[in-house]
Amino acid sequence: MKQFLFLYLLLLPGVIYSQEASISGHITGIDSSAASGATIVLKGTTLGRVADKEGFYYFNKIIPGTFTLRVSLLGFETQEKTIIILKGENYVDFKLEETNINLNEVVVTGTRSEKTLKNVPVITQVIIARQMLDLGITSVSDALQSIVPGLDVSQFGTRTSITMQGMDSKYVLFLIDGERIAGEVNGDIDYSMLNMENIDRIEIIKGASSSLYGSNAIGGVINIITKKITESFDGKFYSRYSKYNELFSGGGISLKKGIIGSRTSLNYSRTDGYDNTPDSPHEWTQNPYSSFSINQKLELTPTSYLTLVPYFGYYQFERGNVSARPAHDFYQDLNLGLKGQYYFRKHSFNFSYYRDRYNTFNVLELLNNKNDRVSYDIIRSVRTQGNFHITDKNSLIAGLEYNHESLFSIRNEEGLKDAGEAVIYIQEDIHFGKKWNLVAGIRASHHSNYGLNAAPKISMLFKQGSFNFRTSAGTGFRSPSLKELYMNFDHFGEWYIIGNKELNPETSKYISGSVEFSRPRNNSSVTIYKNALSDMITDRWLPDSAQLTRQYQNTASASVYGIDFISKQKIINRLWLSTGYSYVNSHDDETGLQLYGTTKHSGSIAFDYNYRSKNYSFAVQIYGKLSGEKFYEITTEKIYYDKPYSYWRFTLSQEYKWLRLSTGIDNVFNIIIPQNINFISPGRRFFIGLNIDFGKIR
Amino acid sequence: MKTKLYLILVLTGLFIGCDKEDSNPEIQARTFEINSTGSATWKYFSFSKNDTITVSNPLTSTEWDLAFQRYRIKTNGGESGNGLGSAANSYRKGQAGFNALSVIPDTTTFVTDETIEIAVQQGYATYVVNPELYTWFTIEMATQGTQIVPSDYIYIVKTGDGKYAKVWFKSYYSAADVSGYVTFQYKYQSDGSKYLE
Repeated sequence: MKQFLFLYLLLLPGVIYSQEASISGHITGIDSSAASGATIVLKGTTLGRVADKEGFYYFNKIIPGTFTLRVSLLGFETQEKTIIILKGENYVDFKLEETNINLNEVVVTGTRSEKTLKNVPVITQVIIARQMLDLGITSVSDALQSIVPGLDVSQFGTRTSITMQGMDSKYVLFLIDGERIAGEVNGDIDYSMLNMENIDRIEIIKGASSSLYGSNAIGGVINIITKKITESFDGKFYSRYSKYNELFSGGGISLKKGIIGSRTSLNYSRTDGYDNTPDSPHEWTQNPYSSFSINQKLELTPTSYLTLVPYFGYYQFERGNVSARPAHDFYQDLNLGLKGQYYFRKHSFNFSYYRDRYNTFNVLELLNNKNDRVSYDIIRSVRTQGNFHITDKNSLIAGLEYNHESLFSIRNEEGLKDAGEAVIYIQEDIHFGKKWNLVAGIRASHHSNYGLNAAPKISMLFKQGSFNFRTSAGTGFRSPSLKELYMNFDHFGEWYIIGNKELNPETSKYISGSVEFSRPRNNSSVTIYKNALSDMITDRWLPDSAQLTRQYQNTASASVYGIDFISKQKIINRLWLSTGYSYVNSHDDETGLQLYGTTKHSGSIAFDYNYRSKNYSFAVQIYGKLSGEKFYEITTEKIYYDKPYSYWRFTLSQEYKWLRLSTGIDNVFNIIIPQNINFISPGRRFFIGLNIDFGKIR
Repeated sequence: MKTKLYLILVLTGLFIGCDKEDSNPEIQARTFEINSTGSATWKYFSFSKNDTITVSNPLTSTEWDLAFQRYRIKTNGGESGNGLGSAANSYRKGQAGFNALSVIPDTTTFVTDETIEIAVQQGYATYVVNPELYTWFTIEMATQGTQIVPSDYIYIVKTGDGKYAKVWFKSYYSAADVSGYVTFQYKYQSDGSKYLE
């Protein structure tokens, strides 16, 4: 079979231009007006167009055959048409329908292949850039906390930490375009590194996905998808200002000419910070900082069947010093990579190389601001994946991957420590009739420290009328981190914490079931799940050691179960209501304590009024988050918790052609709970925002 | 001359702080950074030498005035030694408080060293320290462990041989941001009087 494919690959270039066809058409939106700016993609090729001012598009030099055209435009339902393209001219028109629930939105995380939301067998939540803009959201952690029920963000001093479905960030895998992010501290990456201007959408999958993504995908996967280059010219600028000189600002430029496309994106943010706890004046609620990032990517399409995307990103973050120490933090990240995709008939092949280096420094203020190295972490990954379209009802994904990480830290044993992992994964996607879809996959890996490991997973989707039933079962795992393997930290000689080279991966068994009700005016889903973790790595006191010493060991096990509810419905014309609720119960099997940082009950509610005409739009959002107690149980006697809270945000925005102005109120009811770390508002704040879309000034 | 001046001032109860400029021009404010990074050893300091000293038997020696181990401080008295050492909190703060403390008030209560119990990772540990000087810092929880924040109180320290100094503990971190380096500013009255300016 593979040899057969390879043979075709070699023959292909000669076949492309032997017979030519063209496709053109007209795309309309509200009241049959031209849907200018709509994106038209010819699936199975690298070709994409943007509808012009009058709503027309045109493809030429196409080989005749069966193709699927996908048309998408913000605020409209994505449409696909599969047609037979004949030699000569072909005409395909589209009439787009307005919607707030775009179930034809394409997602990639759940199956490592493109699927629409309504057809993906793993329930996926998507946050699109526009939604974040409408809500006045300024960071990825803010977006996740606001929109995903059951996802919490806490602030431990200078560190931002998330929990999802009762599991802390060690068990949630964070990706950018499918790649891991260097520089995690206790499982948390540096969230301020995520350049907001560069984000197209965020995909969230709860539960085990280790069969595709490997380590850490126990509680869920969060995949940030960066913007693509579609138009010949596009430029954007945004800025948002609020109290404490808090500024979020950025801009991006996309250019495309012939076979070369380029996208540059910049992001800058800063704040003077604030302190809700005056009794500890050297430990602020929000530290002052300034941060900058730049991302550059090129998109090369030398033929209609090959895309090459080289890219790099740079980020730096400097914290202002409010501590009693003569030093402050400075972080830096440099990543670069190359992604390629080759289309061959209905198959495609991907390859990628990626390298990410994250540095942390201590800036010594009394020594001419010398940068004193604290740690650096390098992640490298190389992957190749084949997507085989065997029949219309059967497709197969197979991939090979090698991941490597090296870490230097002053808290570890001396020298650079590293670990490598060689991986093979395979996934089969079968449809039975029109109603059933089954996706099953397995990932086998060899890790330099603990050897072989396998993670299988199976997901099923059954459609009946307006209902979609989904079920998933799978195993997840988390490899011991380099810190857990090699730590050697002397806590001022009073106690030690040391790593353990004998550690095995933590494993989990996950099962979930969900029901989704889906109509154009109402989309609601309920998911129940259970996750059982074993061989959990925790640090325990070593008995009989001369010094007080804690060591990482595979000792604990825990059970987590819960229910998630999400709903979006149209109340009256232009007014939509979104609600979410999450219940989770997680407990350590031995002690019965809730896992650290569990919020049992949380929910959100949002009213969204949206008026849109050709040149003007107007939107009002009222958003509320409600959270129950958040538990930090250490022993049965030492139980701390964050108080329940509610947080409300009001946003009003108006858009005229290329200009958008928004104003809003953060924390409308001025709720301040100084001791909470999962809710760190300084009280009511007003903000103003400005967005300019240079692509529309023409 | 110093004793005379002292008597006059005590008798009249006036002019306190007015004559400080000419009273003892030789008393200098000094700043010292002591390396007390070791968590098992004590570092001994002498005001008269303005330096650390080696002490063979701290319990009998009257040479040393203060001893440091991490953020814990001893004086040469009570359970810590045979000297006359003890300490008192003036409850004045910062540079202004340091400048204003020109004479030790008669009402000052000096405290000698004793055993205190401190909560640690597992249960409690006991240390012999000077309880007054244990208030020189507060602990603020931070991401990178804990930070030791000076309380900025000005302390009156009675030395091993019964003289006086005022001391302000200013920092716990070296220029290279290493913890266990206590920087303190002091004025030491070598004539045994209670005048500190």
